[in-house]
Amino acid sequence: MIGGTFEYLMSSLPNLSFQNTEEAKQRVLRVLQKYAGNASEGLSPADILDEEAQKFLPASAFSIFQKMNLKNIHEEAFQKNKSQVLSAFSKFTFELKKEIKARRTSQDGNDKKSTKNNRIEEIIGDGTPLEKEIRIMQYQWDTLEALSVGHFADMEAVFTYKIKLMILLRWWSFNEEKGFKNFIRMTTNN
Amino acid sequence: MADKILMNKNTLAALKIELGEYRDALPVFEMKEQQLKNIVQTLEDGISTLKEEIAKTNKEVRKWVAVMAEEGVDCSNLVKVEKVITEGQEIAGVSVKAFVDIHFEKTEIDYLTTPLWVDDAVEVVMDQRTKSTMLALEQKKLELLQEELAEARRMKNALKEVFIPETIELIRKIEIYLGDVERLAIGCAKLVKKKKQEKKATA
Repeated sequence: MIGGTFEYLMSSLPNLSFQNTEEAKQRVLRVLQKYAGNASEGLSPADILDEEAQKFLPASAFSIFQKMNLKNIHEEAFQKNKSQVLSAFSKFTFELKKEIKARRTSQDGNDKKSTKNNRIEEIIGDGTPLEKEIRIMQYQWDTLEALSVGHFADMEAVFTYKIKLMILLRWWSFNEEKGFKNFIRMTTNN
Repeated sequence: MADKILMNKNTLAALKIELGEYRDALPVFEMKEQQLKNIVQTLEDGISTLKEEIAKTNKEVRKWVAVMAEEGVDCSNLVKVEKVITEGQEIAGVSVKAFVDIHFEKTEIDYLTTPLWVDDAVEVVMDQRTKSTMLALEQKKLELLQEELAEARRMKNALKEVFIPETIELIRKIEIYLGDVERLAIGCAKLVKKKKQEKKATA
């Protein structure tokens, strides 16, 4: 990859769109693997992106960049970050997770007094857990797009790219055969 | 049954008692066989229903099971069987264990860090684990009762096809033999008497 500014980094990364087709997946993964070359063995696409981003980001920003993942992005360290997109997305995720938590708690029977949150019901909707997860990811993606408007080749764009990649990698990790094997293992283990 | 038997009245009496016992035991084994056959049939139906339910859930879960491939989320830690409660039962003289309840270890789910699908997964895994446990117990029960049924059937057949006919045949043979002996004794006695009378007449 050409070294230099964020423009170089952003223009050389594969374009990401909210799709789960084999073609879209392979296009992104192939390009990222090409960047990593022989060193790609054992590295996840997120690791490869981290390695590339390290060449362009200041040390403090990279430290945050590397720690980012969908499980912890709601944490205070990200909410208070200087990156506007990261901070806004972190706060948004925190609120979303809180609303989902309230919904889950009420359905668990622990909190029967809680009222139905129409907004979260609208986002999650009905259907299978898979459909619900995809709707949540779509909502995260759309929000991220809205938050990152106008950021094409700056640090905000790099952070946005990583979050988008993480959302896609999560979606792409959903696999019926592997999932069913895990399910059978869970139902038969003692 | 012994190969060589004494052809006497004592043996005949003993065999008649034995035959009576066999004839008393036969309906017991026939009844036991019938009873076990019904129970085994009911158990097989129940097992088949359980298997169908498990297969149906597996088919339904297939629609969304892809989420369970997500890395870093392991539901097996969230669903652990604490204990399976069973009760002992006596069915047609066989001691078996029947399912009563299953208790799972209460594990708190972190709703902030785990994805939404975990709730459904935990529920369906618990449901399938319950059914699998019930199925295992029912299959064990079926195995024991089938063994007992085979034993009852063996006993019924042995009584009906071997012991009773063989004893009847032995009794018949002894009765014929004893009859022959008796007739022979009477004949001999008559002969002796006749000879005595002839001797007396000539004297």
